[in-house]
Amino acid sequence: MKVTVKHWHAVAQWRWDTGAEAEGNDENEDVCGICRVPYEGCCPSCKMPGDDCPLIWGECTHVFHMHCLLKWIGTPASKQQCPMDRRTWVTAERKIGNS
Amino acid sequence: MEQLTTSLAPPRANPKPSVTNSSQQVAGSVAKRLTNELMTLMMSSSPGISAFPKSDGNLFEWVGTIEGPAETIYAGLSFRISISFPANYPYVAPAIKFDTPCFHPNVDITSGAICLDILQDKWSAVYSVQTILLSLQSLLGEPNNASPLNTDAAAVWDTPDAFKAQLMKYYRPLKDTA
Amino acid sequence: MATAALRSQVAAKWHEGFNRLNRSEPGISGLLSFSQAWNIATDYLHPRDISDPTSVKHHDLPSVKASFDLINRSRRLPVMLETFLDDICDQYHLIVRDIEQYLAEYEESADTSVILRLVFRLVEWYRAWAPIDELGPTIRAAYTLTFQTQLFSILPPAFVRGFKALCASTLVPVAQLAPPMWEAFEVLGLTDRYEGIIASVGYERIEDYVRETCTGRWDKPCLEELRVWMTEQIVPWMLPMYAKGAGNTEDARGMLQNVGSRFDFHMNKTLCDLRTSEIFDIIIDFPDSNGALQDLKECLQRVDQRSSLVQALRKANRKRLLHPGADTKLILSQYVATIKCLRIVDPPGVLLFKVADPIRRYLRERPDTIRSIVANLVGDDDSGDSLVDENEPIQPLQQLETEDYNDPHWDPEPIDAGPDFRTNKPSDVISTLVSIYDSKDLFVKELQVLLAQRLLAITDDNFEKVEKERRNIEILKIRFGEAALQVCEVMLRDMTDSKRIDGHVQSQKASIVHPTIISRHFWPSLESSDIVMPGQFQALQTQYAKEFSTFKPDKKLRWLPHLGTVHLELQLEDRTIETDVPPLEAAFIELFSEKNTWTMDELIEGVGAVDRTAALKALITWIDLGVLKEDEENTFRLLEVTEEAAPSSRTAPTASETPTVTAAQQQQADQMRLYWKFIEGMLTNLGSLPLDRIQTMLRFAPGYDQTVEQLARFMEAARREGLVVGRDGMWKLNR
Repeated sequence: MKVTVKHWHAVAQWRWDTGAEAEGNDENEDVCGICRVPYEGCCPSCKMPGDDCPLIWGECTHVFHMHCLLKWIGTPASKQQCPMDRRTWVTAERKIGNS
Repeated sequence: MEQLTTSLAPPRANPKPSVTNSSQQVAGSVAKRLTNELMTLMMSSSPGISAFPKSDGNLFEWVGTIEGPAETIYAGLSFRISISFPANYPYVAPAIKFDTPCFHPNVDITSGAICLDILQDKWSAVYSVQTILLSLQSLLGEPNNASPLNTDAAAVWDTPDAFKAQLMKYYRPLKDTA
Repeated sequence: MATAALRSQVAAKWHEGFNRLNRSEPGISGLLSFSQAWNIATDYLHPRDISDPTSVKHHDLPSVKASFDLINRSRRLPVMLETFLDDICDQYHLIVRDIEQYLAEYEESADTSVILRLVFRLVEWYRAWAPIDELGPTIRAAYTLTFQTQLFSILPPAFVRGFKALCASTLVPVAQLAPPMWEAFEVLGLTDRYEGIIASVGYERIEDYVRETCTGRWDKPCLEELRVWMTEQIVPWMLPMYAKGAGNTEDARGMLQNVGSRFDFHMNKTLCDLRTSEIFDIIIDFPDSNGALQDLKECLQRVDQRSSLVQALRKANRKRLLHPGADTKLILSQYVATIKCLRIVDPPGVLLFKVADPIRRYLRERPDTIRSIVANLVGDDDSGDSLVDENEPIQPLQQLETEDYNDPHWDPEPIDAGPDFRTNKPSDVISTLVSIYDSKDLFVKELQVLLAQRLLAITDDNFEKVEKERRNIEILKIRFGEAALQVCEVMLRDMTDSKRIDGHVQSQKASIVHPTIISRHFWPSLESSDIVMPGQFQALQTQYAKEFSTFKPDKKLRWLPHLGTVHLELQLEDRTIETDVPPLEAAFIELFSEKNTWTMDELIEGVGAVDRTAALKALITWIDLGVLKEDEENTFRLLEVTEEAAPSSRTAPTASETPTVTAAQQQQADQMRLYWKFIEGMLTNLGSLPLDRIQTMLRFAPGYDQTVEQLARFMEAARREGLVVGRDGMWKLNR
């Protein structure tokens, strides 16, 4: 028997490629430390997830919703530091492809 | 201290994403985050710490309860605190004070004001009510005697009997007040 | 011994008496002896048998009159009257005999004309026995009274029946002979005596007529027509009885006014009763039954039958609607029709409130109510009947609970409104349906689930459907609010994005895979699956995912392999089969391209993990298509060559309708645990709280949708488990 696939209407989810994610485990998911909303959700000031509400990577490997982090950096209390480790925030060039 | 609080920073697991919950009509992203925090706090089972909004109309004023950690001088005692969130939370720390008189080197016995770095210059947007409560709970057993707010307390910290006597002199057990 | 003087004295006396008696006439021509006069008078008055021709006597009327005059002057008239009346009683057996005869005939023939003849005959008797008018009205009245009293005392029930039938017979159609009949009734005193019966004839006629002409006729109002009929048919019939002695039509109208309004009331009541008994079907027929509803409204204003209408409808609903055999969709559409109908009948909504309550409670207990409402809202109803009128303006959901005291149009509640009556003034149908539940969240969730199902069923070549869903959502946004449907907005955008992304990916490297790429968290919790697609499927996935990540470098795809549809072509030795199947079916058949025979366990292992029911269902799909055969239990063989179809030993497991999307209601148990955490949290920090405070504070819990009654039961259960203590209406933790 020969099986020929003529057309496949499949369903998939998109995920941010944060580089660190273990496959499979659906329940453990990363949230933005600032707004507590999952990365694939959107920050409190956005309505649409994904390209409209992108992530930002720090050299320190910490990841946030871009809007959340920029707002934090904008406050005097932040001292321009990563809220997670208090190292001076440096936005990382996005690693493309596999990490 | 700082090591402790940073390690407590954001929980990886979030029981249910809040984005799909449309129930909260309270406007604004701060309310959204506070709802989210309340949910996380309710679902996590950290022993001896708890907090809840004071009234149904205002998500920005909470009441917290901290039990003294076991094997510390505060063991068996419970303290009420009040938490007041600013409009630009979490970019600015909430204002926190003890409502139950707390005889402690870093707590003002009359005003209840607290001297804790993460509530002042070490605040970070990734901290949460839970982080704060846990920090306060550990502060009870491990005061920072270098910069005391209550010098009397700092002075007798090393003589537990005398300290306990002072503590109990000020302490008022919690009452059921609605 | 009499002396001449004495004799002359007596003679003089006698002469004087004679003169008086003889009225000073000459001779004795004017003389009549008293006894003679008495005899003439009593003989004249004596009630004779009118059936006996020989009894007819011819009296010399002047001498009869003279006799009465003499008796009168002798002041013997009362005695004579007494004798006369006694005679009447004595002779009444003659009438009784006649009556018996006529009634026997009537019993036999049931012909009301017999009764009419009897009545006329009685009049004859009455007239035959009547004293002359000269005796004056007193005697006449005494006679009439005696005659009638006797008559009524001997008229048997059979007569009453016949009399009623006779009256009725004059109604359809109004008989020509009516006036003499009514006169005869009047003479005999039957009109007064049997007024109730005559009226009941009218009432019954009205009842019959209303039932005949109005039963099941609901399209147009009947009342006006009935009134015309009353005026043309019943009023003329009533005239002789109720407007007797009316000089002109003006007078007659005045006299009829009172009785007329009684008849009109009766007509209203009859129609009201009829419509009440038909109300359930009237509602089913709506809007074609608008006329009946208009009538009912008018009748109810005149007749106080509101509570019986409520009872009748509640009973009918219980019997015909609110039972397990009725489809939820049907219950909903009947409920909506009930809302519309009762708003016509009773605009303030009291009736509706009373009738709706049991329906709402019943619907709340049905598991698929929300789904049905939502399905209808988005036009996913097979019946095509929308609960919502096309022309009803779309408006935001309304809160029904609060009364707005600033409302300038506020009216006091109607008097029969109960204490828990909530005005549901001009709220739309959807608001009313949504208000069956205490929160609209359940609807929004169900809406999301439904939308997800519908969107995922759309294949890429049918994009108008997405646009249709988008229009739907736009409308629903108006009702449920923008924020509530934000999630749906994201789902729709995912559809558009998927199409765009697929367009790009296909342009780079054509693929037969056309995925819908969804945003996690914004689609209702989709059942997860551990299926690993085997063979070429996996290759197809990997290839596509790679192209995707090239296009969107910061993103990757995570397949939901159990969702979607595969269009396959199977080339077998003797045939080619082309079909659309779910992914699991496709995965299994892919395995069969490796080798021809597989056991169930091998197959399950071959796709990672899947539960046996789902696996069996997928295999049965192929068995039914004649592609696979189960040679022995749980061993399946590919039929390269068609084999005689053996009777399938397998039937699809009945409980296999595995929904791909977890229904909102399944989360209920988890929710209760969540609520407890919140209650524990608030009682820890706020001390003891009254129930209503707990209820309001629970709105911080996402998706909280319990009523305060449900909460009370929940707290009670927690108390039994020793978790809380309740005292004086305050709850606190049991510590």
